[in-house]
Amino acid sequence: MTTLEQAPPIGRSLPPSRAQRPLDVARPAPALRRAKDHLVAYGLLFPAMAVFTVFFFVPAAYLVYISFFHWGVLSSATQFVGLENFRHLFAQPLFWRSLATSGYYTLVMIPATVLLSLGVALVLREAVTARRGGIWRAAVFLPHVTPVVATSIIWVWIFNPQFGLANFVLKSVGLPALGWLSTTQWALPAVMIDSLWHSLGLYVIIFLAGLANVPRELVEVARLDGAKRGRIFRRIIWPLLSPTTFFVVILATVNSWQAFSQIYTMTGGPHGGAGGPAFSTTTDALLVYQTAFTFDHFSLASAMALVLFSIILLLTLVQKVISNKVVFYR
Amino acid sequence: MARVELHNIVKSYGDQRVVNGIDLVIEEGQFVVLLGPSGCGKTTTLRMIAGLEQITDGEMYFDGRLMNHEAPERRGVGMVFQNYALYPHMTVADNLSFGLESQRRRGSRRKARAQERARVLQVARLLEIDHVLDHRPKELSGGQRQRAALGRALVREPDVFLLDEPLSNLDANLREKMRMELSRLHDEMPVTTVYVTHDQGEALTLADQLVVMHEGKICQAGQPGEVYSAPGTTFVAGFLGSPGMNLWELPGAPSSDAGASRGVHLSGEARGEHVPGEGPVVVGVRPEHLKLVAEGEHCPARVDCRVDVVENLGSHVLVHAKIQSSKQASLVAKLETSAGLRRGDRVAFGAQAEHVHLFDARTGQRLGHRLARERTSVGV
Repeated sequence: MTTLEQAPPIGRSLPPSRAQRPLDVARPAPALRRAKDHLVAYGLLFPAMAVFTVFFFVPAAYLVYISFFHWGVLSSATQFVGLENFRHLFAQPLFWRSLATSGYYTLVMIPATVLLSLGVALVLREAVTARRGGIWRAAVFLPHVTPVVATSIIWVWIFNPQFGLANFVLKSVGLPALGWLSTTQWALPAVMIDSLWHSLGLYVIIFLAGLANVPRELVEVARLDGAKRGRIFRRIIWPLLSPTTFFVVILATVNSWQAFSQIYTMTGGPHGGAGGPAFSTTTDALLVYQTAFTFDHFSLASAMALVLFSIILLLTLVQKVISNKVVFYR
Repeated sequence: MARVELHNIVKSYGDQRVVNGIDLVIEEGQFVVLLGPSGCGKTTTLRMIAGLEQITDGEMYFDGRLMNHEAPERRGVGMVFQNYALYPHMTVADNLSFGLESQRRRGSRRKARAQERARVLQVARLLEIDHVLDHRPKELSGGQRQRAALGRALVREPDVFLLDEPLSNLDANLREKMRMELSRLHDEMPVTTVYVTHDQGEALTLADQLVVMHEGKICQAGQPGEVYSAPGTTFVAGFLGSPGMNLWELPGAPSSDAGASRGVHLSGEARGEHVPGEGPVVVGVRPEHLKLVAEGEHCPARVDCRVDVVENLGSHVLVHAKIQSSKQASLVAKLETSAGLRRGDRVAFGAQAEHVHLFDARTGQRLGHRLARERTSVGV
């Protein structure tokens, strides 16, 4: 037992002897231990980092590089042209039209995605019993795991003006048949319907997870407070769901600006003519592809892709700034 | 204020019955505490009163009005949840006024708002949270959150006030303080209150009437002191008190003063009205009623044992001892710190006749002394 006389003076503690710290004897020095930890961490990260570097970072950096050059896949000569590609790009009416088409597509897709997927998520959560819930969730999610090309081909059949299901339904309710993919007016909406159907499952699952995070007690207490369903949704669920909604908006924005496969498959496919009729479905992403792989202007396509990247980045940043005011994080 | 009546209330989830035929009458303005271990059905009962759970069978009335199928918002109940359930994105003022706004009727909105603000301020002052009205819940301390949750339930002047383990998230000191606050609040605003807890300290101090529940049924209901001093079943005896009552099962009450069964000596005085030979009995004595008995000293109930563990709790010691001539039976005695017992000491503990409780070992029901209240109704 330590007596008062033996105790070290306050504030001047004695260094612990080796005998008092048997566990520390075998441990390496902190710096060495940290270095070892880092090595293990980087070792575990290496496979993913390698794949990302080879297939994402290097091509992205190379894209920025060639956007300032005249460059072709088959020609070995490259020539620095500065901002020439960008000047040429901005002088093209088709580029501006494709931007407008992409903007229109995004503007329609974001609210449609949010409203539809949230609505379906609410119905799935409210109306479906736990046992059947899994089946319905799987049914809604299934289109998303099917390749876009496959679902788009199905929608091409559905939108067939002569024997498609879409016109059959329209006619059966007394409405006139539409030209769908063969008309400039309805081609883009037809693509939007396919995109919505294909991506809905993902957003529904995200919203279902968000709804599951809204504490049940808050809804119960609001009911006891006398609030009706509409008011509970507006004042309790919607604000608490705002981080999820924000995430869905960001995801829908990026996916809409990058929409390619469904447009390519539905409006032309490998036989050519994608983006028609009369460029009505030529979005920025499609134009990038066509410029690079159909017309072999890789430098111009790179400049275009860089502009597209800047637009998405800018939009995401704007959304982030807005979100600080409207999104509530618990 | 409302009079609440529960008649043979049953709640089942599929084949599983979680509440199994509850009969309870809660008079206007009473503070009733539902006490029981986890899973005994007390919270489910509370949620059925609130209307958050459908009643499977039975009838519930508020002031004679059948409430079985009435929507929660039409029952006039205010509820405080265990985790407070404050709206995290709203200020305290908005939390308090949400219910008032939801029930606002058509008419002058400006006038209604002014009245709501005044009411919110009045309740906030009563609960001493008027200085944090513009704060969000995450900026509040545990006690302030608790008060805000109480305020939100009280601001609408409910007929029935329901509290589901409202103090369980607070630390020990704050819990004690809030317990007193709740008691004061009920004195100032005597609303019919149903309070659910598994903390017997809260139950005994707060309740006008205490209802002990076990396995979906009411074991005993009555005034707290009454339930504590005359437990109706072995479950209530063992559950109430810290530590619970010592219970020893004997094959039959010893028929003579000199006889002992499994190390427990009971005189005729201690056996009371119990007739020997009725079958196995359970003898119960509370730890605080056990005293050390000297060799040869007469005591109506006497147990010879060997000290196993002595726990010093500052104000008193808890002595855990093994009963001699019984391999498994043990006892706990609450003694003064000056008792000076050590592990291995051979001692005798005794209790006065009025502190000896007898129960039927087969049914667990109290024997001998009649219960002050055998009805489960807690009406006055």
